[in-house]
Amino acid sequence: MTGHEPRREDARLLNGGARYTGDIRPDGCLHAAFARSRVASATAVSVDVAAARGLPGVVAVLTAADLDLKDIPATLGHGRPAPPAMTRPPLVRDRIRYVGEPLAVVVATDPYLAADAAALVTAAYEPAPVVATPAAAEGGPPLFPEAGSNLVLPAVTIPEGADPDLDRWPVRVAVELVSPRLAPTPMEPISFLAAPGPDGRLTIYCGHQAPHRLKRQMCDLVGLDPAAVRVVVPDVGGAFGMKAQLYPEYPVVTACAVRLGRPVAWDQTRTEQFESGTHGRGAYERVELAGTADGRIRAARIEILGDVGAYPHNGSAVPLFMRLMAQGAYDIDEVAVTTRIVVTNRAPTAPYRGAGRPEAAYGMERAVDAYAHAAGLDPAQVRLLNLVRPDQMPFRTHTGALYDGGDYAAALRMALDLAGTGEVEAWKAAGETVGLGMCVYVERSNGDPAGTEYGSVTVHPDGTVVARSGSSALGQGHESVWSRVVGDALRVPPSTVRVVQGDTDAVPAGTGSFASRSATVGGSALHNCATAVREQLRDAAAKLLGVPPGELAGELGGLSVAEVAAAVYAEGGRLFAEQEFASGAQNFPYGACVAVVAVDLDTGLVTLRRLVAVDDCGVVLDPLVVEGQLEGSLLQGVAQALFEEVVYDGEGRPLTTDLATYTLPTAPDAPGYVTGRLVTPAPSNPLGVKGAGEAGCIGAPPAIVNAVLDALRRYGVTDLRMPLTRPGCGRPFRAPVPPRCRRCSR
Amino acid sequence: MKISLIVNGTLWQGDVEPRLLLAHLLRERLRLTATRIGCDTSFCGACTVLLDGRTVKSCTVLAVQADGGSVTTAESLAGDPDDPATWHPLARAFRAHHALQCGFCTSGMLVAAAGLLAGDPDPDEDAVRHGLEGNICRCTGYGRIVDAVTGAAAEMRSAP
Ligand code: FES
Ligand code: FES
Repeated sequence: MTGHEPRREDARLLNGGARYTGDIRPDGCLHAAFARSRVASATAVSVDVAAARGLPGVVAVLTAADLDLKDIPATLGHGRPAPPAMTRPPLVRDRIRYVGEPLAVVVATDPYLAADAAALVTAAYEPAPVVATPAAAEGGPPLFPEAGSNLVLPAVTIPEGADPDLDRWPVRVAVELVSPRLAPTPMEPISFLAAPGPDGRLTIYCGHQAPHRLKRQMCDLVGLDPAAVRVVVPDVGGAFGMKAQLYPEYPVVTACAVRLGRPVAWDQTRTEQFESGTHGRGAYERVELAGTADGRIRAARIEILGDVGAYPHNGSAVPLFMRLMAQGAYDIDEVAVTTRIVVTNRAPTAPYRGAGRPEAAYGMERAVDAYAHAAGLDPAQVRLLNLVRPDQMPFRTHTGALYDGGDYAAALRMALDLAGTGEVEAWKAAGETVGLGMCVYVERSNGDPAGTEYGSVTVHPDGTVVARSGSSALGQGHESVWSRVVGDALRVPPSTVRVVQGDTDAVPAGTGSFASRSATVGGSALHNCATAVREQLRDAAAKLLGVPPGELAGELGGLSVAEVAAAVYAEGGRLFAEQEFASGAQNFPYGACVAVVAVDLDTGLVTLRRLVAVDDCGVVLDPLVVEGQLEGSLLQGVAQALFEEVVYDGEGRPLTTDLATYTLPTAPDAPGYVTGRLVTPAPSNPLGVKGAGEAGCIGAPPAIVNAVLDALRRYGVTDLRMPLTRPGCGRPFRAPVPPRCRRCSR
Repeated sequence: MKISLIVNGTLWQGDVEPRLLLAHLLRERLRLTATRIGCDTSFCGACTVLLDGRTVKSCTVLAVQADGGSVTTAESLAGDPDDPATWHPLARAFRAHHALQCGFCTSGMLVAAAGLLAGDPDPDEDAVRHGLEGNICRCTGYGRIVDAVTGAAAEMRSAP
C-alpha cells in the first residue's frame, strides 16, 4: 500500500459520532470521586468518612478496610519482580507515600455530590520524613521500612564488570543532566466505567492501551471470574503511555460496581491526573566520554539514576529502556552503564512516549556536543566520524541492543541540508544570537521481542471481511490502516474490511498498543492472516473451476470473492485464519533532528526558527499518518525542551497541578516542521515496518538544547537545564532576566 | 433555578442547580457529548461552544448564565458521516489535512475555528494560530490544524 487514504475514523470523529468513555453513561449510573492525601509522607493514617457518608445523594463511602482488594504488586517492568515489600494498596491502608494518593472512594448519584462528599473525608496521621528528590532517596528514610532501603534496583553495571579506563585518552568530557518529570497529558483525562449487566456479567469501559491485560488485572485484584468480565475500549482521546497503566482507582471502582450492583463511573479531573500521575521521564544521568583529539570517541561511562515515584510498577522499566539505548547511534569501543532505581515520595511514574529513549538520546547527544567542543571540532564532524555505519549492521551495542539497519550518517546529512546551515552561518555573521543544534537518535520499538499480538481475518459468505486485532487504537487510526493492510494482502478493497478491536469479548486475545508495537506485531499478524485467507480463497476458486491453483487466471480465475466465499460456506467450510504473531526481535528506527533557534538575550526568549526531522521507521504504511505521528511527537519534544516540567517542592508537594501551572504548547508556540524520510525495511516482520510514533520526542529535545547552547556559547554558557523556560536557567545570560515561556512573556 | 435557552436551534427549558456548568448541562442533561471536558482550569478548549455567536469555554460558564441565550455546539456542525458532501467545510478540511488523530480536541477546534472564521473569513496563518490559542491539541503538532482552517476558509469564501 502506498499513499494516504482519508481516515475512516474521521467520519465519526468530525461529525459528532465519537464515543469516548466519558460519553457512555448507562441509566442509573453512579459517580465515583476520590478523597486524596494532601501530604507526601505519613504513618498511622486513619481515615474518617462519617461526614461524607451523611451527605444526601451519597450511596457509599469506602476505605481500604471496607474493600477486600489485593495489593498491586511491585515490578521492575516486563514481569520482573521488584522488592516484594513495595506493593501498593489500592486505597491507603496505614501509610501515605505521595500527595494525591487515594484515601477513600465516594459513590454518589451525581458527580457534584460525589466531589462534595470526597471533600469532607479527613485523615489523621503522624507526619513522616519526606524523600523529596531521587538524590535524597539512597540512604534516606525508607518509604517501605520492610524493604530496608529506597532502592528498587541497586547499582548494576552492564556489561558485567565493565570498567573503561577513560584517563588514557587525551579528550575527556563529563556532563550531568536531568530529563525532568513530565506529565503525558492526553487531552482526554482517564475515564473508567464499570457496569454490571442483567446477565450478571460486568462490562468495563476504559480508554486503555491493553484491554486484555486490564481484564486480567481486574479479575485478579477484585476476585472476579474472567468469563463474567468484558473490557471495552471506546474511542480514546490520546494515551502516550499513561493509559497502559494499572491505576488503583480501577480495581476500586470495579469493586464498587460489583458491590452495589449498579454502574459506577469515574472521570478523573485534570488536577487529579497531574497530582497522582503517572508521570514520565524523571531521569538523572552522568555521561563521560573519552577519545582521540581528532574526534574518535573510544570509551563511555554512563550513570543513570531513575526515580519511579512512590510505587515501583511499569515506571521501573523506563530507566532500563534508557540503559538499553545509552550508547546511542555510535560505535564506541568500551561502554559501561550503571543504573540505579529509587522510590521517592512523588507520584508513580510510567512509560511516557519515548520511554527511556529520549532520556538516553539527551544524555549521549549533549555529551557528544561537549566532546566536540572540548576537541575543538565541529559537532557534525564528530558525529559523522563515530556513527555506526551501514556496513556494520546488524550492530550489537555493549548494552545488548541489536541495531537492525540504516544509514545514520545519511540521516544527519539530510537533516543538515534541510536546515540550511549556510543561512544560519550568515545570521551568526550578521550578529544575531542564533544557534544550530543536532541530534542523531536510534530508538527501539516493539518493547518485548517475545511479546505477541493477536490477529484474525474472516471472509464471510457475502464476501465482506472482518479483521480482529488485539491491539486497539488510541487515535493512531488503526481502522484505516488495518483495513488497508488486510485489503492489500487479500486483494480486496479496504472498504470491504471491517476492523474489530478494543473488546475482549470480540477479540479472543491481545497484548496492546504501546511501545510502538502496533504496526510491527499487530499489523503483521493481520497481514499474515490475510495472506493465509487469500491462499484459502485461491485454493477454493481453483477447486470450483477445476484447475490447479497455480493456473488460475488472474486473482480468482474470474470469480469474485463473494462467489468463492458463498461456495465455500455452502459446503460447510469457512475462510478464516488467526495468529498470535511475535516478531522475535526489537526493531530500531533512527533519524536525525536539527534545530535552529534565536535567543533574545534580554528576555531569554527562545524562538525556534527551524525544526528539521529526518526519520527512518522502515516501510511506511500511510505517509500522512506517519507524518502526523512525527509532527505530534516533535511538538512534545519541543515542549519538553522549552516548557514542561512536573515540579515538586521540598515537602513533596506538587506545584504543577493543572494546565495553568504546567505549560503545554498551543498553536502559536508550535514551530513549522521540515521533515525528510529514509526507508530501511525492518528485517524482523513481514511488513518491514518499525515504530513511527516516538521519534520526534526523542530527537527534538537534545537538538533544541544543543542549539541554544550553540547560540550562547560565546557568552560563556556551557550548560542549561530543561525546560529552558525554567526560572534560574537565565543566570548565565547577558541580562539577569530568566527565560520565559512565550505565553507569559506576551 | 428555571432556565431556558436555545441549543442548536431547539428550545430547552429546565431546572438546574445554580452551580451547574454549561458544559455539564450540555453533556449530562442534554446528552450533547461532542462538547468535551479536558481540564478544570479553562485552558484546554475541548468544551468550546458558541454562546450568542461568541466563542466561550462552556466549562467557564454557569448554565444559569446562559439563560435566555443561544448555544451552538459541535453537533450543529455535523453532517452525515457517510456522505462527506454534507460535512461542514471545516470537517472536510480537517480530514483532508489529517488535522486530527484522537479527535478529543476536535469538537472544540471546529467550533473555535467556525467562530474565528465568522469574524474573519480570511485569516492569515498568524491569525489562525492566535485565534486557536485557547484550544490545546496534544496529538497533531498544530500545523495541520492551521492548514485545515486556512484551507476551509478559502473554500468557504469561494462558496456561492
Ligand atoms: S474543559 Fe473547558 S477549557 Fe478545558
Ligand atoms: S487530535 Fe488528539 S488532542 Fe487533538
